Amino acid sequence: MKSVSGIKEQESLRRRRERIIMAVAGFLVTLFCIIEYHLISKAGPLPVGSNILIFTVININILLMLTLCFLVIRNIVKLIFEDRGHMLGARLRTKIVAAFIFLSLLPTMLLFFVSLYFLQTSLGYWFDSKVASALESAVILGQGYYDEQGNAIKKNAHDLAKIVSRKCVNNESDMNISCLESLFSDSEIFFSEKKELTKNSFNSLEILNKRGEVIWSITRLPMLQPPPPLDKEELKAVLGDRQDKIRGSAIENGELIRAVVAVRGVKGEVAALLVLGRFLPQNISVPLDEVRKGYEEYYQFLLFQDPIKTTLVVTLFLITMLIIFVAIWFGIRLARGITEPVQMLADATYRIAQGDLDFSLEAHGKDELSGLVRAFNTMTRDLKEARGMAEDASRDLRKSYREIEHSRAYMEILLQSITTGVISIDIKGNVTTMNRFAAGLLDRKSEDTIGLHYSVLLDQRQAGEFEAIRKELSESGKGVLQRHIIMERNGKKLSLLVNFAVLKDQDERPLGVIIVFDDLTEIEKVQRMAAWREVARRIAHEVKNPLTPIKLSAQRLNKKYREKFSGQEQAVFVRCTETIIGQAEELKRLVDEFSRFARTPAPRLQPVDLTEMVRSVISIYMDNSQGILFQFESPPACPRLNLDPDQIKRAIINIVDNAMSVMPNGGTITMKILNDAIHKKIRLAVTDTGPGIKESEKNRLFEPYFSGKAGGTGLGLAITNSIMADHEGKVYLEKDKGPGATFIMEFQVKED
Amino acid sequence: MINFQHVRIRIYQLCFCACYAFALNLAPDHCSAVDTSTTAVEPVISDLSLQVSQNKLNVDFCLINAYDSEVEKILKSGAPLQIVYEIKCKTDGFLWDHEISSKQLVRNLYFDVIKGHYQVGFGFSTPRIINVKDFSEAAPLLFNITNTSLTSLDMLKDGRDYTVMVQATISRVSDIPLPFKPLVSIFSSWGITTDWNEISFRYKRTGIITKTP
Repeated sequence: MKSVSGIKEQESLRRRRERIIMAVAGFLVTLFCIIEYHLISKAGPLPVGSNILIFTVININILLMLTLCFLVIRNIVKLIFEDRGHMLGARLRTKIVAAFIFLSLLPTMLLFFVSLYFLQTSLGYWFDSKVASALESAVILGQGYYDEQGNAIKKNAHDLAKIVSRKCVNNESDMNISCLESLFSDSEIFFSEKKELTKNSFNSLEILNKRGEVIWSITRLPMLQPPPPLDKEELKAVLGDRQDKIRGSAIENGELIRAVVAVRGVKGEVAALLVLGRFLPQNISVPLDEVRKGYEEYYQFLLFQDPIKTTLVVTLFLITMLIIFVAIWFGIRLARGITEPVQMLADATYRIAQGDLDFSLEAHGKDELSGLVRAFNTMTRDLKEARGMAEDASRDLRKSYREIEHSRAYMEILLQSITTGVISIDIKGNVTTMNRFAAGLLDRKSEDTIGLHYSVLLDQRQAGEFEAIRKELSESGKGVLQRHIIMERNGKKLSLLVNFAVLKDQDERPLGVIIVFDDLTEIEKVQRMAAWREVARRIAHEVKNPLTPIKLSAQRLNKKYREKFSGQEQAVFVRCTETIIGQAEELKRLVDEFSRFARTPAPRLQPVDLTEMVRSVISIYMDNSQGILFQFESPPACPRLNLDPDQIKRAIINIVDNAMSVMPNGGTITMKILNDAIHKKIRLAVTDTGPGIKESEKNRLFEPYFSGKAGGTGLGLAITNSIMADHEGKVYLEKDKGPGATFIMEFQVKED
Repeated sequence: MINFQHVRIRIYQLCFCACYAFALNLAPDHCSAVDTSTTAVEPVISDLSLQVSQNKLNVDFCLINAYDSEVEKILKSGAPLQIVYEIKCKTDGFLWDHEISSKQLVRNLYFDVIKGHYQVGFGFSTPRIINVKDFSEAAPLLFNITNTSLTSLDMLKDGRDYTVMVQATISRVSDIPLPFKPLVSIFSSWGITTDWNEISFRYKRTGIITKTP
C-alpha cells in the first residue's frame, strides 16, 4: 500500500529546505547580532563607521533578515495565488493567515505606537529643563566648593612657601632639611605670624627639589601609602612658567587636593617646590563625584538624545516587525497544518471515489486532525477489506453463476438434444420451456413458443384433451399422470407416451406443469417388426412342413390316377392336381420369403465398393430388362464401405424389383451415388419413372406384408429396411421428387 | 600594476596642497587645530614632515580643523574625546606594498566639570594623564605630534623609495550606561576619519630626499 503525505515529494523537499533555511537564517541572525553587539561594545577607539568587520557582519545580518522577509513574503504571495487559483484549502488557509496577521498586527501596532508615545514622553521627562538647571546648580555648587578648597590650600601653600623660603633657604638657594623639620614640629601652631596655619590646615606637605623629587614630607592622610606622585610635566610647568597648580588626586577613602607652588630663593629663583595637600573625605568627594557623573551623564544623554531615540524606535520597529513576521509565519505554518490534512483528506476521498484504495495517508502528531487522518486510514483499510471480500464473493458468485449457467446450458443442450419432448407450463398456462423435439412435434420453433399460452399451440381437439388431462391432474392429487396419445403430424401418425407432472416449490405450492413425452413410433415399429418376424418364422415353420407332402401327394395322384380318368374327368383331375401342385409351389415360395424375412442373418461386414456393387446389380437386369433403361451415376472417388455385400445387394435388388414392377411398359431407372462428405454419408438414390407412391401408402411402405401391387408379399421393402437398419443405415422415400418415386439408401461412412 | 588608491591619494594631496598654500596665506598659525570658520571644514593632517635623528626616522605633523563647536559641546558634556593617529611607513612592492612599520598614537581629552580643568591622556590603557587648565594648553598636546619615532633607519634600504602615511580618527568615547549602547553608537554619526596624508621620500645613507611635501 502506498503512503501518501498529501503533498508532492518535491514540495515536501522544498518546504523542508525552506524550514532549514529559516532555522539557519534565524540562528545566524541571532549569532551575528551577538557578534555585532560584542564587536561594537569592544570597538575601542576606532569609530564605528570605519570598522569593516562590523559592517560586514551587519550587512550579512541584513541579508539574512531580507532572506527571512523574502521567505515570508514569498509564502504570502504564494498563498494569494493559491487563493486566486481556487486551490482546495487555500481559502481557509488565507483566512487563518489573515486572522493571525490581524490578531498580531492589531496589538503589536497598538503596542508599538503606545511604546513610541511613552518613549517620546519619557525622553521629554528625561531631558526636562528643571533637571538640567538643578544639575547645573549642583555643578556650580561643587565647582564653588572645589574652587574654595583649592584657593584656600593654594593660599596656605603660598604662605608656607614664603615662610620656608625665608627661614630654610640659604643664599645658594639650597633647602635646609633640619630647618624644615624644626619648623614643622608637633606644635599646634606652626607660626606665630600665621596662626591660621595649624596641623589641621593641611593633610600633606611635600618639598620637592627642582627635579621633582620629594626631599622632605609630612602626611596625615588616612592611608599608609604616600600621596600619588605629580606628573613631572606639570611640575616642569610650575618650575618654568611660575604658575601655581592645583591638582586633585583620587586616593583611598577620598580625594587629595594639592597646590603646587614654587619656593623661591633670595634672588627670586625657584629653590624648591612646595606641595600642600588637603584631604577631602568620602562624604564630600563622593557626592561631588556623583554630581559630576550626573551632570556628565545628563549632557551626554542629551547629546545622544537623537541616536537613542532612533535606536529605540528602530529597535521597537524591528521587534514589531519580528513579531508580525513570526505571527505571519506561524499563521502560515498553522494554516498549512490545518488545511493540508483537509486537502489531503479531500484528495484521498476523491481517490476513494475513483476506486483507488491502495494508499494510506501519513499522520503526524497527536492532534484531532491527525486522529481524523488515522480514522480515515482505518476507514480506507476497512473499505479495502470489504471490497476485497465483496470481490471474492463476486468472484465466487460469478464462478457459481458460470457453473450454473454452464449447467443450465448443458441441461439446455441435453433438453434440446434428447429425443424426448419436454414442455413446461407455468401456473398461468404460459409455456416456459419447450425443447427442440417438442417444438418439432408441434411444428414450431422452441424460442417462438416461450411465453405463449398452451392453448395457442394446440388445436381445438388437442386443447380439449389437454384441459381434461389438466383437470384430472388437479383432481387426482397425485401430481403425476401418464397417457398414450396418437398424434398425426405431416400425415404421419406418431405414438407418444406423455407424462404430466405438477411442478411444486419447496412449500408444495404449484408452479405449473411439466409435460414429458416419448416418441414410441419407432419403438412400436421395431416391436411390430419383431412380432412380424416371429409370425413369419412360425408360419414358415408350420406351413413349410406340410407343403412338401401336399405337393408330392398331388404329383403322385396326378401320375398314378391321371390315366384312370379320361375325358373331362381327366382334365378336371389334372387341372386340380396341377392347381394343388402350383399353389403348393406358390405357398412354398411365400413361405421361403417369410423364412428369409424372419431369418435375416447378422451382416458379415467387409469393405465394399458400392459403385461396383450397383453395376453388378444393373448387369443382372441387363439381359432381361423388359424395356427398362438403366442409368447410373457415381462420383469419381467414392469411399469403400463396410457392408455385407450379399445383404446389400439383396436390398438394392428389392428396390429395383419394386421399380421395375411399377413400370410394366418400360421406363427408366436412374441410380445415383451421392457422397456427402460433410455429414460423412453416402447415399444411393434409386429413381423410377413410374406412377409414384400414393400418399396413403407412403407411411406404410416399409411395413411387412404391406404391398401396393398385386401378388406382392409386402416383404421386399421391409427386408430392405431391416438390412439397412442392421448396417446402421436407413432407407426412405424422398419427398415429392418428380412423377416417379425415389428411394434413398443412406450409409454411414466410418473412419476405420 | 597601477595602485588606484595611491592615484586617488595623490590627487587629494595635490588638491590639499593647493588649499593648504591658500590657507597659509590667510592663517598665520599654520598648525591650528581650532576651526574658527562658520562653515564646516573637514579635519586634515597637515605639516607632515620627516626628520632623521639618532638613527631613527621621526615624523612631525599636526591635525587641523579638529576642534569645533560640536567637539567643544561634547567635551563640556563630560564625554571624552579620543584621537587615534595611524602612522605607516611602506614601500611599493610588485603585487602589494610592503609595510615597514606601523604605529598608533592615542590622545584622550577629558574635561572635568567640577574641577574645571582638562585631562590629556596618552595611550590606550593606563594612559599617562596631564591636567591642563584650559583648551589652549591641551591643544598642542592633542594635535601637534612631533619627533615621533617611526622606524629605525636600519630597516630602510639605500636608494629605495618609501612612503609615510598618516591618518587621524577622532571619536568620542562614552562610558555612560546608554540603553542599547552599541546600537546607539551605530546611529550616532559622530566619528571622523581623515584622509591619509602621505609623504614620499628616497632613502640615502647621507639622508632622505623628500619627494612630496
